[in-house]
Amino acid sequence: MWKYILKRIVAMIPVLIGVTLIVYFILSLAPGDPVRAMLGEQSTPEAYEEMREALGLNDPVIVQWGRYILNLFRGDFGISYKTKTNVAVELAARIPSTLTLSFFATTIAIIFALPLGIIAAVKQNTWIDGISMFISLLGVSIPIFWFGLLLLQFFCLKLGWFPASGADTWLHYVMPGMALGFHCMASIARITRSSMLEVIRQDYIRTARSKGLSYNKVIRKHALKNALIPTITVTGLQIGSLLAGSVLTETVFGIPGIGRLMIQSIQGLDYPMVLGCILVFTLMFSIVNLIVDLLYAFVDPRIKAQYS
Amino acid sequence: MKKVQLIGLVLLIAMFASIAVSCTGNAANTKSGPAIDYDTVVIATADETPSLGTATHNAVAGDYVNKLTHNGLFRLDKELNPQPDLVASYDFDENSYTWTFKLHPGIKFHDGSDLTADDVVATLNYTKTMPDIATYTTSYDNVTKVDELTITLTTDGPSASLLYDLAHHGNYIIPKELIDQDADMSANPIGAGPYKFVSWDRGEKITFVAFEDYFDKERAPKIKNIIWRIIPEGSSRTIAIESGEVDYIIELDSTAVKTLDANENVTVMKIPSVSHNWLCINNEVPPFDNVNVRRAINCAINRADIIEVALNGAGVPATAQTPAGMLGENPDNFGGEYDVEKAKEYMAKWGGDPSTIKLEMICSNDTKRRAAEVIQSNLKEIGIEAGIVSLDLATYLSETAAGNFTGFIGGYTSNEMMSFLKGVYHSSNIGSSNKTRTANPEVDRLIELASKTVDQKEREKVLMEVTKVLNDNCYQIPIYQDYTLSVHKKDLDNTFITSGGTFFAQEWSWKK
Repeated sequence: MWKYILKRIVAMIPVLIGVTLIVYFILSLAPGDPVRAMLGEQSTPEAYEEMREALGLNDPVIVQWGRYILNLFRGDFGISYKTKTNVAVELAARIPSTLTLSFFATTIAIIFALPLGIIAAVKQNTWIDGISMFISLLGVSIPIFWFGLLLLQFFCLKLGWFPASGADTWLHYVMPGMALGFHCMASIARITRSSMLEVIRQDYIRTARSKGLSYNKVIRKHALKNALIPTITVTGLQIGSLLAGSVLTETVFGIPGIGRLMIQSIQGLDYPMVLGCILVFTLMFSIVNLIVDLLYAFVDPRIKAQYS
Repeated sequence: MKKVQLIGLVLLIAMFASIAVSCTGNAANTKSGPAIDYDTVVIATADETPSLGTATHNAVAGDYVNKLTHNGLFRLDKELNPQPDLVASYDFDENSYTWTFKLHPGIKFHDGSDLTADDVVATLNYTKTMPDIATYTTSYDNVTKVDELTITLTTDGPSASLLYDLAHHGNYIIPKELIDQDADMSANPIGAGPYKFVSWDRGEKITFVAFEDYFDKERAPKIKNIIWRIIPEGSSRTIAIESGEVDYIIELDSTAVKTLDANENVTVMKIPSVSHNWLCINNEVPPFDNVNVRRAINCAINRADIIEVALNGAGVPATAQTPAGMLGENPDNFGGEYDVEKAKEYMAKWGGDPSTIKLEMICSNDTKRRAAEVIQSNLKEIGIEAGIVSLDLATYLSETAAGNFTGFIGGYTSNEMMSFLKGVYHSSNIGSSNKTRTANPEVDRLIELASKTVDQKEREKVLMEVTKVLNDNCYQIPIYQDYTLSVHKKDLDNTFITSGGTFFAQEWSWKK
């Protein structure tokens, strides 16, 4: 098992390098000039040229990328064009907020999605099933941005239960967690329902029932565990899309996370910061995928046997 | 069963609808929020400063916070005129073009050290090496210490822009010791300003506390703490002030003005700004090199409609090729009154076929796009089929600076006329901020003459003359000067915004 984990971690290195290469070339092909974005309209032509030279932007793209990779191996993520601070320092300050938001959103999504999916499957074709799937449909369909504003209006302005913006306490993460979690919940609930429907029609479920086990026990002990594999897969994928969703949620709720930083950096063509943010997202996504693969082993003994 | 299912769905839809409807109701039904903390003011802003240092950026968001923590030799007053700040007295020798500045005695930096002539000399030599603020450091040279509180500097001839440059945040005074140590000025923003830096939670908030040893006792801070909160989304900022979570919003969305005007707990401030916004047309591209075509466009557009559609009424029509509200404003021969028949006359004078004109208006945000849509329909009336192109800000900046455009919706903000004229119309700035690509030797000569005319009355005459020449040539199509929109709790007193958008937080106080 440990050998497998180590192998997966080592495999992440070429993935990260590949990602930087792709992103670097996409950024270099994108229209716009980072120095012009940085200095604005009021800069002198001399200051503009001086800055381009100082940042090494007059060098060929492959040289710039090579320099970036070499520095990366030394643990140097570069200096932000916009803030002139170390990218690693800036990222380190933002990662906790994004992780906390992701944690809240995932927790809220799972807490609501699993019961919703299970109930919908067990009560298939009843009004409960209809309502469960309608809520799921809403979650997928409602734009996160709009839903976030709706939550702000209701819970912050009307009821005064939660603060409107910031990241000082756990209370600040409840509404953004709900906005982001609601979106995730929908997909997880739907896959849980279809997976459960498939499992509860299996022969071993019928056998368990015929042995006299209660319906609830059969669902909890036999059906749910076997239905969890696709749910775990989708939850893992959802955490990936949740990172993308955090871009919008962090903007609406003023959370100082990586998503918001990345958008600002893309707008300002702050190449080192964009690359830093994408590296963090890639790393997080790779780790989530690894965790998902490891979770399979815990849920399904056959997979565990393959690892060992 | 289907009936029950249907009832369930209807109930759910009703629940969501009721939440949505309740959210669009009257602001008076909302919670009043936390009670006012009379020791603190929470300011909400859209953009975070890139740096707390003074010389490493040229961002408006950074200028706001630099004004809290630092001082310059001069500052701009409420009418945007330079006034001595750290300087107690000054003198100008017209023969040698030497300025002598005497500092107030006993000025302390936040670290407790004294602010002396050494710090001023070190700062002004250091800022001349910084590319971000290069525009504001070219007017002076040879900065020399005379004694502990006196410095001299020279200018290349008489200079009317020097005092404005010294009032720019880029030239705010920092300790020599930090410069010598090559310290990170953003991590360690030590100045002599009314507020001391406490902490910066990146992306979230910056905290300041009043500086007890501030040298100017008359302008010393009245509120102890300032929390500078970053809330990028306009609607979220509005909700934050409605709920009482923040006390002041620097940039209010024009869409929120109506709602907040009706809220008796807050005061909305609408100040016509000196930000000049226009349809810029590339004067090097035919037929826009013909003054009759430019004049035709100038009177074919309906500025009142644009202000209504693009700004929700929060602006005033432009009255000249240069901003109103600045020294030297001059509406003579602007010719911007909406008159389609006159526009057609100009087109006839040009003699070409309007349908052959290719005008693509580049826009970098929604406001500009809405303005372009009105212009597009206005120009149709004189036979010009204009297009609209949306670009992100960075691309917009580089494409327009390089001259790769026929037209774009843009603007320029400056606190004084000379730097506006130099930036927008001087031929030396073609390729950067002179985007009309105007190269008129007479305009260049008059701008240079104005910048060397120290006497304000004389300078005003020259500036009016430049504007007249620009109006005659109609190099671009000025549209509007928007309002600076801010809002604060009604109990916050002494709030004032200049037409340049500056406010003076140290003068605020709470009505108790």
